[in-house]
Amino acid sequence: MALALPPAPAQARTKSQFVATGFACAAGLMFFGGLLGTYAKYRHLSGGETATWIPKKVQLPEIASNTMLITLVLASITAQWAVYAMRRGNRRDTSIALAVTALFGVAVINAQAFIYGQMKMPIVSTDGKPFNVLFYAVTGSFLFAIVLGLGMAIVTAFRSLGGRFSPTETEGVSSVALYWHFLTVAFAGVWFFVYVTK
Amino acid sequence: MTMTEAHLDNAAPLGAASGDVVARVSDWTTTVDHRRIGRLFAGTGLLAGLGLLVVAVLLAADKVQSNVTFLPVHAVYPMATLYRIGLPFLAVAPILLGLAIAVVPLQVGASNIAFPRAATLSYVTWLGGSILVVASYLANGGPGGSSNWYAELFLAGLVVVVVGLLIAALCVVVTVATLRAPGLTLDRVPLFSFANLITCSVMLLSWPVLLANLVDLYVGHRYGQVPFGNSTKIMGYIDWAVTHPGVTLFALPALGFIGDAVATFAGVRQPLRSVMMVAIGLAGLLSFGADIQRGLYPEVSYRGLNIVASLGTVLPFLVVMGLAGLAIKSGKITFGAPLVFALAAGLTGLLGGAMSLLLPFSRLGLLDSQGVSADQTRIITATIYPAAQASAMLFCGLLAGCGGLVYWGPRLWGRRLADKAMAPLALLGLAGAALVAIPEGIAAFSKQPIDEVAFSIGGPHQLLNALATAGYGLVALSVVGTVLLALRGFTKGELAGVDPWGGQSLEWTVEGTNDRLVMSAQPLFDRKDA
Repeated sequence: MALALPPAPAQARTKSQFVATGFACAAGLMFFGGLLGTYAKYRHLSGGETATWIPKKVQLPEIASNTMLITLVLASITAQWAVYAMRRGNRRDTSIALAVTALFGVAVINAQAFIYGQMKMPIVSTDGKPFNVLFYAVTGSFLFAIVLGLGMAIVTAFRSLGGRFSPTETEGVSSVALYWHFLTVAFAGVWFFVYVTK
Repeated sequence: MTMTEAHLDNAAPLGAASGDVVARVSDWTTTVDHRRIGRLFAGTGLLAGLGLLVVAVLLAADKVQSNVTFLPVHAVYPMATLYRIGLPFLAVAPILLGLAIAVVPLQVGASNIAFPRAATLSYVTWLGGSILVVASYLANGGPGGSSNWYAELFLAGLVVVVVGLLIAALCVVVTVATLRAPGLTLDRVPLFSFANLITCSVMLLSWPVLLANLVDLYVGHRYGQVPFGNSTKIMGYIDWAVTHPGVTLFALPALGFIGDAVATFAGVRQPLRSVMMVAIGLAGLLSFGADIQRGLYPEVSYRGLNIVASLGTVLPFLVVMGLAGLAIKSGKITFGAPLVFALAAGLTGLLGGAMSLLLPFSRLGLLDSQGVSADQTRIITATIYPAAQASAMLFCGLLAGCGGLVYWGPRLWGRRLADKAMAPLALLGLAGAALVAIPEGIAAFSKQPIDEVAFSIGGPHQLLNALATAGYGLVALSVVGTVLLALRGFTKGELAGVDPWGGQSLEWTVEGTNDRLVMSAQPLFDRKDA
């Protein structure tokens, strides 16, 4: 009778993707921190008053920005729902959750486009105020980050449908969820500085 | 979950299938082998470094006769900023990150860098951005350039450069954090890998703020030049990343290299290794820099965190060099070029750290030289002192990069370098760094302005600037010599064994050479433990 060696122990999982996403999110927070720091500084230099900071005739649509924040909180919840579902081996729910997350992302982009449309503010300031360029720099960067998140959610949803994840291997889904949590936190900062304190 | 594996593409010799140049270029630019990616980064960085040192020599030579200039007046400021931005981002960072990409996976027992395709992307991104930055300068763009469009190209190019370097940093930090061999706990990681973990983590937290500055500057510059002004103002908003304390980040991996190389050549375990790790961590903490943005907050120069960073920077270098001395004293030292490079880098870092001690004293006024440039287009806000201090730190990183190539070259190329010929080059580099930093530092007390070649000041500034010119020349000579001897050694040098230096860490236990690397079945964490 031939003797066989026992099977080698399973290789420890590395969680590289999740750790990388964590570092990338930390970097992203610093990026938005930098943008908002500059925004706050110039707001302070202008006298710190909304009237002296925002050009006349420009109204920031508060309802749309509040809706964006609420939508992102919901997106964060659905992204975490995807993780929850995958940990229970529910591939269908995972894909649905990620698709809903992506849908919320599209809604956020739509709300931002609505804000731009309502404001009708040229990017080149007519009265020499820095608000215009800083507003577009902050919100434009956030739109770029949302588009990245959208891509991640859609690709991960298809990968989930294709059987790429399992209850013991949820790293890809967890990474997407982490990224959407980051987007929510980052937008909370943008919302507070740009739309609330103006 | 099925994974798409990125196999090391070293099974077949380069370009063997088609044998033509296109295939070889394609092999190299699409490689997922961390050693090749690292070599590409380091090699291109060294070439860029050479070019930038030539620029520095020209600028320094033009300062010797401060009332007579041979460089066109309009080209001086752009050239000065090209050197100040280029040396860190186009030379020192890629050399050190390249070394990290090549060496760190071997040191931690990983089969490859984390996300090898992202690492390749980082190189291509960085290279593309670097070409844009240089092209913008050639087209009279860049900070202080007269072409607005090319100034915007500079900003866009620098964004791409920083993004490329950040991707590389992410790969390195994830490799150390997650791909360590079983049992290789963080406190047992080789010091170079640990230093890179700290460096890359700080990069990932600090440089996104630089990215934010660049995005703001780009949008502001492109649309009405509000509120950041024209291209002469660009440098004021981004120079925090290349002056103290942010510049220390470029010297941080040197601390790890010193720890690894000195212990190897002393033939002992590094005494008080954990203290050295704490010192490296402290250096990382102090080199954050993003909170000290003089462009936005001029008053920050003499406040809390900046004072702590200025007074504390020398400490990690003192500790690491002191412990390196302890290792040398307690062991039996053997001669080797990497040892000389390590000590030269350490002493240069010490010089930079010592120079930073004077920065927080407002009475010295080293950061407050209010003046106007020769062509009256720019307000000068500082003396040459911060640039001199930054040069010392950057040369520390440069010497460590050259030393790292000599030290780990046998693992990466499979051949040894001419050891005795390389050692004097390290001393040349050390002498050059001292000749740049000390005379320029002294000239700053006579209020010699930063980024200018035409000025009227008292004191022996002709002699000081002549010495600085010689210093830049010596550093350039050291880099040229290192590149030439490395090229010769890595193509025609004697074959290196598995462990040519008697190294103590995991990379020296890898069997085979160059394109035929096979990891040992039982990786050792430390040969002395085996």
